[in-house]
Amino acid sequence: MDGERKLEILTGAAKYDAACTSSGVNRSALPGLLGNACSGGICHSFAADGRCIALLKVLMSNDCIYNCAYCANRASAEQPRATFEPDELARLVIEFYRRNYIEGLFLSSGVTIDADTTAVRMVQALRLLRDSYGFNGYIHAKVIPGTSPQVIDQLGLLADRLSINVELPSTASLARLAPDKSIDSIFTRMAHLRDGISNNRQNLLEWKGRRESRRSLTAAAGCDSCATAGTCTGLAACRSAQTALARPARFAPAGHATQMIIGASPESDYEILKASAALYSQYRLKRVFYSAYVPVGDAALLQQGFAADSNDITLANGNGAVQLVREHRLYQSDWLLRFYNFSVDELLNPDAPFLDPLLDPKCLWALRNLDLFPIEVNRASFDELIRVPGIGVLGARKIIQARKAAQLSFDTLAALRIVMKRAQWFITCKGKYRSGLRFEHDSIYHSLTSEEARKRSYRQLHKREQASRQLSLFEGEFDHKGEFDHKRESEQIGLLC
Amino acid sequence: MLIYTYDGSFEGFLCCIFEAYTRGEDPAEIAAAQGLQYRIDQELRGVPTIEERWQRVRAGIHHKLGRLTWQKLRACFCASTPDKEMLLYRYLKQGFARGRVATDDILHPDILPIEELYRSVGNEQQRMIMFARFAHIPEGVYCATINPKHSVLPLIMDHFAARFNVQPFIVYDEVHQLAGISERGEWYLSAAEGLCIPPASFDDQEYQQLWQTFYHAIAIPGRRNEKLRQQFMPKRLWKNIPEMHPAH
Ligand code: SF4
Repeated sequence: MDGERKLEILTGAAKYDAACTSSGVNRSALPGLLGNACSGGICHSFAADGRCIALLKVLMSNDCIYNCAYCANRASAEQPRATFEPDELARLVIEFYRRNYIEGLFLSSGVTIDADTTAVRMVQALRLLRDSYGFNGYIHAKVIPGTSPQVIDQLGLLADRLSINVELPSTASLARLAPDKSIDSIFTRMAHLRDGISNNRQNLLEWKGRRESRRSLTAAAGCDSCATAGTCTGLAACRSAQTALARPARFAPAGHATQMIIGASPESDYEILKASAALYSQYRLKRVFYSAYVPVGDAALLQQGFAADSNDITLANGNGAVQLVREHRLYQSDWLLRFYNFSVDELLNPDAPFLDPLLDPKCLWALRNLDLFPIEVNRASFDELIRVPGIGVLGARKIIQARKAAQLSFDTLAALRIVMKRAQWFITCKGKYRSGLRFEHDSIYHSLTSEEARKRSYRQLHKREQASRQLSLFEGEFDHKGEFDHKRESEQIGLLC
Repeated sequence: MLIYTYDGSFEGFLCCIFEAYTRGEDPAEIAAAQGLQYRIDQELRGVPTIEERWQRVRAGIHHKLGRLTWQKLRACFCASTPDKEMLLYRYLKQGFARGRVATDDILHPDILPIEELYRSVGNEQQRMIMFARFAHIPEGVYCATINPKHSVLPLIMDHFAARFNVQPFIVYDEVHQLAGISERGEWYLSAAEGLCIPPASFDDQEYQQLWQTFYHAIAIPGRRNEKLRQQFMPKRLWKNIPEMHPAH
């Protein structure tokens, strides 16, 4: 098989994986090494579906022995199979990187022979990259289910970010759809990552402390002016500090993440977000990625089986277009949980467990809490401002900056890039509500939802989805629009590096 | 009508600020001497670029308005907007008169244009960092041709010089006829009128081809979203982005 065909197969097999961000770690360039990493992340291209391309996202191999029902690479699927040689992959990364095509590598794999054999192959490729080719750019490696802790530790010293997929929002669904994967092992490995990362942080901190104390020691002893430049072993205290001076290697400095498939199993949005919140707090994850599931072929049957014991068939068993919007709403909610100080129970509850496809989650929350509004933009605190639909973190900062100089009016707000279509309903300027608007639930709801409906034209989405009848393992990180862009943009497009 | 002319450099522009400030003048226009169209009603004054003067203005900006504002002005000077000097001049006039209160007043008619210009230049800078594509030419140098709407080359060279310190490279801005040349982490700019970059090596064409293969294989079929793609990757830049060219 020629290299080009191989690349095509192993890219095609990885394209449904959601994570492609290169963010989370700053590593400055070093003379003699190729590359660096910017914590904001940098995109390098945009695919025809509008998703960002930051990393060379491929599988080491799609030749999998497992049979997860939702996955296109499962053993029983008829598929061309391919496997990269470690050096072949490393060379590809280097050559792409040198041309500024990519920010680094995202490496996952199907399970060939067994988990450790697969993971060791990945380690080989990463080691070549780091040690033989002097690659200093970004690497995200997926931990194959069942990999032993020792091999994970090797991966963590080579990669910037690791991730283990929980795959499904509940253990029941996992047992049903991914029978080969041991649920316990997923969570014990996640805990292993969490501990590895925090121990490493601790070690780095202690090392910094040692370095500092040595600095003050040498300063006090006048080593700066000494010709041996601090390498002498004359001072007892200095000697011990010196032996402990080697900087500990960094272990997954960009943290760890996970991914969940949405819509292959019957959990509600409330349950999904609860699961995410638990993952964030228990395992200290950097990100949870959501991926809309599109059933086809024999996998469609799997869903009908679920529909029977599901309470809300419309969403759990919705078509692909609905799942895509749902994925988008979940990302928005996730954002609110992490950056806007919302809790899951503020957004949803067991009696109203689904997000509204026509309303973004912040609007949904604001409409349920109209008694908190309208708020006065010239006085509201930062925390109040970011809860207003249409005002993001950046917008709130601009408002606070601008109002120091002059009172804000509805006209001037627009110049601050506030989404007035949404914000206007929830604010007053200089004590006045916008003339012509009625502060009343139904008119607000009507206006906000018709804006949404126009924007995302459901019928079109639906058609598109029907045209693509492929089975999807992992669905892409759907691009967020509107105010959620701000944070995302800065995550992808960090101006300063 | 009093017009200041200067050598087109940022330092030269700062000397115009010095001139206006020390003489208590209010020029109607500040323009680079080169390419200026002289009209009969204009009184031209050539402002010399003198280090001691621009250093004083620089120190003044740092002291009164802070390092971030300095960076902002530096970036805005890279804009290709014809009246950028006057926008910067008015901004600085406000800044020197009222201090940070003025620069916080982001809705003020003399402040807002610079805020917007900064945003525009910053976006362009970021786009070039994302989309500059290098090709390996037979001489062993990596070359990228870019066509930014603002002259952002000076703002992106630090990034590339650090990242690609193991490979000598040239970034050529074909719109502003400027080249950034870098080796081992150091870089400098050079005027480059009509620079002709040799065709890519055979190896390079192979990697371009592989990159195109990857680019097409990573998209999810049936979820085409042209609007979104172009929103992030404007069509005007496609000519220098190899994956946007039809397959060989
Ligand atoms: S999800 Fe992973 S383990 Fe399961 S079949 Fe697919 S590639 Fe194999």
